Amino acid sequence: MLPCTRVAVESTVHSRSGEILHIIGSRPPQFIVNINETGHQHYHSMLKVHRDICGYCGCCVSVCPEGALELIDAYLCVEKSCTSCGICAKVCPLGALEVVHEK
Amino acid sequence: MKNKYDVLVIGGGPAGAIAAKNAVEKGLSVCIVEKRPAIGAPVRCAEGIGKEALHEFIDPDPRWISAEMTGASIVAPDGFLMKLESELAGNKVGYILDRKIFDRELVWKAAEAGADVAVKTRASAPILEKGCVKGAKVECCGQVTSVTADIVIAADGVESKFSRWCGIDTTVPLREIMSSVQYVMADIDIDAHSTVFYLGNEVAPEGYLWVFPKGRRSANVGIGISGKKSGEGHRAKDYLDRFVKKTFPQGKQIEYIAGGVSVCRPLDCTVADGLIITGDAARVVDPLTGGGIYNSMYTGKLAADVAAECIGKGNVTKTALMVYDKTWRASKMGKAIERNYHIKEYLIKQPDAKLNEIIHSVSKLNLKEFTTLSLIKEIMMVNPKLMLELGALAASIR
Ligand SMILES: Cc1cc2nc3c(=O)[nH]c(=O)nc-3n(C[C@H](O)[C@H](O)[C@H](O)COP(=O)(O)OP(=O)(O)OC[C@H]3O[C@@H](n4cnc5c(N)ncnc54)[C@H](O)[C@@H]3O)c2cc1C
Ligand code: SF4
Ligand code: SF4
Repeated sequence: MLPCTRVAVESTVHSRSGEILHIIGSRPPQFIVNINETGHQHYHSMLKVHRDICGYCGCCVSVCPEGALELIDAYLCVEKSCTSCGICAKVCPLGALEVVHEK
Repeated sequence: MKNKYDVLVIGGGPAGAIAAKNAVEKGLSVCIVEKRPAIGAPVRCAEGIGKEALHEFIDPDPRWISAEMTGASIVAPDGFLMKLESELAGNKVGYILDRKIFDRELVWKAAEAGADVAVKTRASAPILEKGCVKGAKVECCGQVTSVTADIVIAADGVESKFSRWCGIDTTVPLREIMSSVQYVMADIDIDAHSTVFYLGNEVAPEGYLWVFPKGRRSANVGIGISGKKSGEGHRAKDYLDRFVKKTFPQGKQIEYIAGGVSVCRPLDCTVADGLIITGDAARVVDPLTGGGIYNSMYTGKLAADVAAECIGKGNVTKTALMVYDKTWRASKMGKAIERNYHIKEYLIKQPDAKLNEIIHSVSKLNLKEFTTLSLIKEIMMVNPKLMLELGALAASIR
């Protein structure tokens, strides 16, 4: 449960099932919550690489502000420093990256 | 591969290969490490280069020239086509390379000169001593070894990580990465000796789409759009597929590649103690054209010259290596990057109507010199209004 103080909602995202989730805080650790009548549900987000779509081009690597991506031959690695900001997912020319929010 | 060299080059693209070859020729011991198993593949490039630019480094060889260009065309957002030709009709103005072979040839030449080459070998961390770069940890097939060097030349391309590991911020701003996709297409109707550039917000927002002939009926057909404009349902691939379906419905795609081209300003500083950063890793791509082959070779060569001089004097501090940074910034290439950055910034803000107007103002140009600069000069001549809008920039062009 979140403490009952006012929190700044940085942005909202949709979970895979279509729920509206609120991202709290702009730097990690970020909290992702679904606030509805039944209470709060915590989520965590992570970057997913769809390896079947990725063309191993390095475009995403160059824009990551955390330096969390690395192209190792034909393999895109995501390091722990990833904040799930989604910048890389936006620029990928093929749509191979996705920030997923899970319970 | 030994465990000590004068110069360790990270990356076997044009920047790294030219750096290695020149460093060896200056009497230094050199090793190139390349993380991919094969130099030059997969190709992440439209492979276009100007005639003079190429000749400055290497004589053209039919083995790696796919096609010779005698002109170019620009297609306005409304479909109007402007033709650019050399004043001497039929004169060669540029080439479309076969970079699989070209990149190999450059590395081959470095190896022949005496450089060691290690493929499928990745630099995985710098060796730092009191903040000074002294070499790199390199990984090959799960084995990590330390390779020390007086100077490391980072030539690790758009996906560069090495300089970042040394504490330099290399992040390309979202709006200044060209998110790109390209098909090599066969069996299409094209002008085999002219490149074609398509502009417009519907076609390629804040970027352009290109058709670069590779043969009589084949071409690199690709696109770059601003990272800012990219997103689900409107990615580079979506735009390219739409264009291809409309323009080359019968064409066959025989290769499919993705890529990123930085069109930001170069890094604030391209040297550190024991480190020189070159090519795409230094973000020295021409921000207007997205061309980086020449700039990579130029900075690669300069890096080798400066490395030899500084190693000779026994001083590889950042202060000593600054000659490299200062020299390329003051060079023709450095000045072109600065000027073209401003022109790009101006052009991406223009609505389609304005781009139409500019392109309509000249329907056919015979250029004395086939360069972006002379094209811009000609366009400004017929559009005095543009001169006012460009302000101080216009003065620097005249
Ligand atoms: C779609 C597209 C179209 C383009 N079209 C053109 C064009 O028409 N004309 C033009 O002039 N330019 C074009 N460019 C730009 C051009 O391809 C680059 O500027 C050029 O390849 C840069 O050369 P480089 O040597 O700096 O880097 P690269 O050619 O990218 O070489 C870098 C090398 O370093 C290796 N490497 C990276 N990290 C490591 C590591 N840690 N350890 C070991 N090795 C590592 C990589 O595997 C790679 O082989 C285009 C780019 C793209 C993406
Ligand atoms: S930008 Fe997309 S295609 Fe390119 S390496 Fe990253 S995830 Fe793969
Ligand atoms: S989500 Fe953000 S932090 Fe994570 S890899 Fe992508 S760009 Fe980097």
